[in-house]
Amino acid sequence: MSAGPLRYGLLTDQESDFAQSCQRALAKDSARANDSARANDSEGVAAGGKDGWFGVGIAEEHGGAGGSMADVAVMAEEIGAAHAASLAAWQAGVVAPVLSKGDEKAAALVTRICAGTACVAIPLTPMTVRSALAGEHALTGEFTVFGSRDCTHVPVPCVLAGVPSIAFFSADHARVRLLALDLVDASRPSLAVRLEDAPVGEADALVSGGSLLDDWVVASNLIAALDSTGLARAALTQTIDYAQTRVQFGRPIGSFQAYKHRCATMFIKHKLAQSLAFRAAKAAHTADGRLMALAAGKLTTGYATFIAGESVQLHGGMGYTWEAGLHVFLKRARANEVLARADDHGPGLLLSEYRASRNAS
Amino acid sequence: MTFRQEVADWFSAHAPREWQSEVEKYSRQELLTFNRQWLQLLNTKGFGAPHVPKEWGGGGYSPEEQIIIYREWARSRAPSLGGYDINLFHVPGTLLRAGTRAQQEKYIRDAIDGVLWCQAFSEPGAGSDLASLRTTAVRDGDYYRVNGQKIWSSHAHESKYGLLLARTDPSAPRHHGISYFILDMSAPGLDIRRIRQCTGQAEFCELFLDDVMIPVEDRIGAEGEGWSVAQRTLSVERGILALGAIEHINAGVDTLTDLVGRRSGDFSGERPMYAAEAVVADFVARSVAVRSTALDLISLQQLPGSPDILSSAIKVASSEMLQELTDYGSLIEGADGLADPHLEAQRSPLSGHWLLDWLQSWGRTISAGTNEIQRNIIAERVLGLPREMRG
Repeated sequence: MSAGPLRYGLLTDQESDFAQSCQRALAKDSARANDSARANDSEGVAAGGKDGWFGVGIAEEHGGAGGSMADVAVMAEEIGAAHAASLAAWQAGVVAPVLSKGDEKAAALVTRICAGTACVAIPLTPMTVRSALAGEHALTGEFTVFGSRDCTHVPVPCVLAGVPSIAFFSADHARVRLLALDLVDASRPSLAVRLEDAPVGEADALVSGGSLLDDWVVASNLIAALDSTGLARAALTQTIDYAQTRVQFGRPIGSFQAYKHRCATMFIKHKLAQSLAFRAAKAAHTADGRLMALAAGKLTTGYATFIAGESVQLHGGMGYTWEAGLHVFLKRARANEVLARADDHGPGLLLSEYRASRNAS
Repeated sequence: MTFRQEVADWFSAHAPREWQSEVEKYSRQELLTFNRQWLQLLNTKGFGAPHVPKEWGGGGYSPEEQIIIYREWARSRAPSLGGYDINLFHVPGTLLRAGTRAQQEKYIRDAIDGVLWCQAFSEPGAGSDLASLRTTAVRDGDYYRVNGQKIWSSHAHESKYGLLLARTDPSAPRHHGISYFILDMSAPGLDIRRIRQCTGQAEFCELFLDDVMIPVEDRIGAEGEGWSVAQRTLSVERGILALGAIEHINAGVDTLTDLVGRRSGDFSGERPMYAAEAVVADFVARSVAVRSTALDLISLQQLPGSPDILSSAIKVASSEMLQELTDYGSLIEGADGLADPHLEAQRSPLSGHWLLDWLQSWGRTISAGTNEIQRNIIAERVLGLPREMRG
């Protein structure tokens, strides 16, 4: 089927054009999808930087291409749909906004990201005060990130003089070790990061602020949601195609009501999840933005897992094979969901944000 | 002052105080008076029918403003409107598109003012398969002579008019021989019997039509075109009508949050979440998502030529959320909620009685085309899956 009704219906013409450019750029990534190779370092530092994406959604004063979170949303959905390794949407949607609250060194890192010469790894584990790395002046600890060998920086959550902070260490720093790690979700390369007494003063950039770690969680929830709405769209598209072509009992299986109803339920959840994620992106800098992003982190990532799981079931035996490729969506969906609800922090924030919004009006 | 603040102020100034406990003591007649007075008060600001143009007695508000109105209305805990859906949505939705100027003049303003209408579409043998309806309307001079039986007509016993579908050409293909009429509920030959619902109330009715005469000028649209006119009525039912319900359901999430908060202390992100909090967080996320999708539906309706891909999804998502929300609220409320308040009527979708609201939620998952029919519509008309073989 055409992806028509499965795409977000309220994109502007410009956004639709941009979605198509993203799709073309990602096509080669996606072509690799069904071979058994793990996404790896061959993606290149920028994994999209060379296509000029890293600047999308980042202010021109930082060397970015301008545009808003709505543009990042389009890019993130397409990256999810292609289950691509690119971290471009995370750079624009999570890393750059946090760095832009920092000093000149932080701004310089944003400029490098836009130029495609730097890429910050994305932690899968909670970025909370509770999980901040031990040490006041030298940090020690271990965590997991999305990122390939040529990620240039790792963000390290820490508390300095009582203030939540993120230290961006160079991946080459002697006290920072990156170990390749195989995740079940093989569509994005991942690493284990280990710091041993890494001196905070030697970080390439340091950003501090009371709500900084929460800001990171909120932004991560949004990008995870957008990635998930893309993969859900792709899984559902593949399922609707299969429903029309696979014949059993002399009829396409999509003509059976039991099958149809499951497709319809997938569609309903997809449209709710997608609407929430896109409107959350549009609202990113408004009063409702945080609540919507956290709601999307919870609902959209969960619904995407449901949709990916249904797509496996509705392909029957083929769905269970490696070859059909649906497992890629299911695994990536689960990884996004885990990232968004890490340690219940996301949902906990969601409830306090909800309470605040009720009290505000 | 923002529009939102203006609306919030109006509701806080005008919502009847302590209405919930008062209303539950009312007789049926007192209740109808209360409902009508509340509607008329709302109409002074155009809040009773915010989607209807001002010249017809509505508020003429934009979709974005309608959402704000419904949201503030629900948050203020002011009463929702009991039993006026057909008047405020179906009647203007149908007549403004398919009615004659004379019909519009005669009926719409009164309907917005609270003259009760009911819907006479379903029949004992024509529920989900509405097009198989068998009530006949035979032309007889300046009248149609109508015979048959209708069912699930809410508030028919109190209504002045009904929206009726009947077959005018039994030989035509089933979707083509149907015409659409305005039925005078006091017409001779019309017998109305009430049906008690699972909630204990009896707002449902069954209609028996025995040589009921309907004047030709009360036909809406051309003879034989009733099915396509009815599609408009039904799309109203699945579209804008959902907005108000969604905001009342969302206000139910507030209530559930308070209920769970009282039982488990304040929420905090700094300890593992209790199971109940995780459930509440889930409903919060769903409420935001359903509202967001409803906004999409309305924005898409304003784009010319844009196909309707969301109204069935909204109907299913909001009604199932209501069912799960009231299911959970009733469990959390526990034994306190088991006492039967013997309500004469129940404000929809949330009356404040979790258990009754849970029972009533099946009214939403079943009415206006069951959620199973909605899923068929999505699968066949939106996703393009092959049609089921039909007998």
